[in-house]
Amino acid sequence: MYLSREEEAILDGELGYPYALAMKVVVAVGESLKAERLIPVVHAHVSGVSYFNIGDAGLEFIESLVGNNAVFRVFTTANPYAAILSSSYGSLPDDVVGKQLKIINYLRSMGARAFTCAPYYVRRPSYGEHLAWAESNAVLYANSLIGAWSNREGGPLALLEGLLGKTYAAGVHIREGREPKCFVSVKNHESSFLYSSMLGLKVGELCPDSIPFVEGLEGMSEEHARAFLASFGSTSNAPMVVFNKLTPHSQEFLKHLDIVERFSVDLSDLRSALSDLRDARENGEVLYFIGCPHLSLEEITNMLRYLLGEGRKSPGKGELWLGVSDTVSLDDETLKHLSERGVRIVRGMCPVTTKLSLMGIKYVVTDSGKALHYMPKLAGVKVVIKDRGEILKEFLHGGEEVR
Amino acid sequence: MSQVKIYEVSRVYGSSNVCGELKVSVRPFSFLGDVVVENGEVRGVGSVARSVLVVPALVGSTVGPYVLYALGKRGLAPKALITRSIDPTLVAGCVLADVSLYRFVSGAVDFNELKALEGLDACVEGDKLRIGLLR
Repeated sequence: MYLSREEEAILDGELGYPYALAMKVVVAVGESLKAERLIPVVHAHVSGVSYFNIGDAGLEFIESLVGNNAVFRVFTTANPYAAILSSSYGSLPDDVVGKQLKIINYLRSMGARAFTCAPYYVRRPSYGEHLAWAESNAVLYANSLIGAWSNREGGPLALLEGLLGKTYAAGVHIREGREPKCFVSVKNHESSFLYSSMLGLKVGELCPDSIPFVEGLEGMSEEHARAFLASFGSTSNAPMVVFNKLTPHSQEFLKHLDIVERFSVDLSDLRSALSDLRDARENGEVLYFIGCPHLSLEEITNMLRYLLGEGRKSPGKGELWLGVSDTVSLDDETLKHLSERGVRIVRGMCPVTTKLSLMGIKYVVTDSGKALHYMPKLAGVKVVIKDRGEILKEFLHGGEEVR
Repeated sequence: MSQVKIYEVSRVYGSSNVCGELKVSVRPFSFLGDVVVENGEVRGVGSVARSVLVVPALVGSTVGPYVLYALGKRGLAPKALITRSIDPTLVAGCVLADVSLYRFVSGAVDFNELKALEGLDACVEGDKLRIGLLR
């Protein structure tokens, strides 16, 4: 790989250990992917922040960077951390909370600006911008809906790229890497959070390693496209989806279409799969959760207006957690009103990457296909998936199912 | 002198010449749950410290590089890792832990056959992996 004089100097240790290590890793990864050079990025987004995901080994690594004065050299945000909040459920063990706080403080000291899985709501990228993002839903959103360019950087890569402000020119950072190889035609789509999520999971299963071109979703709202992409990212490794007429310049992709596989999905097929999931209820503590990925300011505002206006019909079972970035703030009085109704604003946190079973939670009712996919394994709970409106109604009616 | 088995490999990261005891995991393993950082043991394999470790693939992308890093810091990482499937996080982990990384050239490697050779010397020399009583 070609390196500039400045990049060579960093590799040789001119800026110190963390930067030399970062350069060594990014160059090695780039060379393994046949990248010819490094390119600047304007925004890095770090994943692997929950202590449950990275454990003591990850904490130790971040500690070693901070101990050697590592600081991000570009705008950097980080994924949400484990849900270390006080609630009516049991608490997480003290040592887990202590270690999670250390990770948060280390990343803050390196310059992380926000903790959220929706960094596009903190700083919206521009069309054509190069990014080093690690959170799958965010990467998919940036590539597919904005036309920015980011690979799915796993593990410590985005962290190290944030130190350098650079990434390797391979994958979707080059035009050929963005070409769809899988074609999916959707019939009878019903635009809702629930169906968009379920469809995302299905299309991901059909195209696990390649970028799909999806037709039949023209006119889908950005919110629903976001739900689709978050779910798609849990069943596919692809960093991008080309939606006909939604993705910037989608028609351009049609000109160079070199499709390897073609599929058709009828939404009626998904409906039967869904009825099984809706009935998978459990006895024991229930948590209602909306905000995977984190909600936009508009979404949370609308939801709170509705919740505060309606009021809870009976005390009922369970709390409702609404996930947002830690950059979203609410006044104390509103938070108190919400808390009295069993609603908690989960700022900067992610229940999906929190071992909720340690808090005594048995099952979670959510509208997120991504949560449906990951929570049984990561959070140790059963998951019931419903549409957003149904979840809010059920919660307000004290946990009784409202049809 | 017993027979020496030879496999073709290609270097992804690190040294072109590495020797160690052959350790084999027949199945892909996860860095989250299958590895004990304190003693460098992999479930079903035992200690992989300073070995030439062969595995079809590694899973657990987020934590993997960190576990490799922690093993490296304790002197318990393998010297070399040879696998069929390479992804960027595995490369990152190998750099952090200073583990040489190679890919099997053929996708049809028989890991059960390799398992039967476990404990023998394994040396990578250029694009060849030699296994037998070499030293």
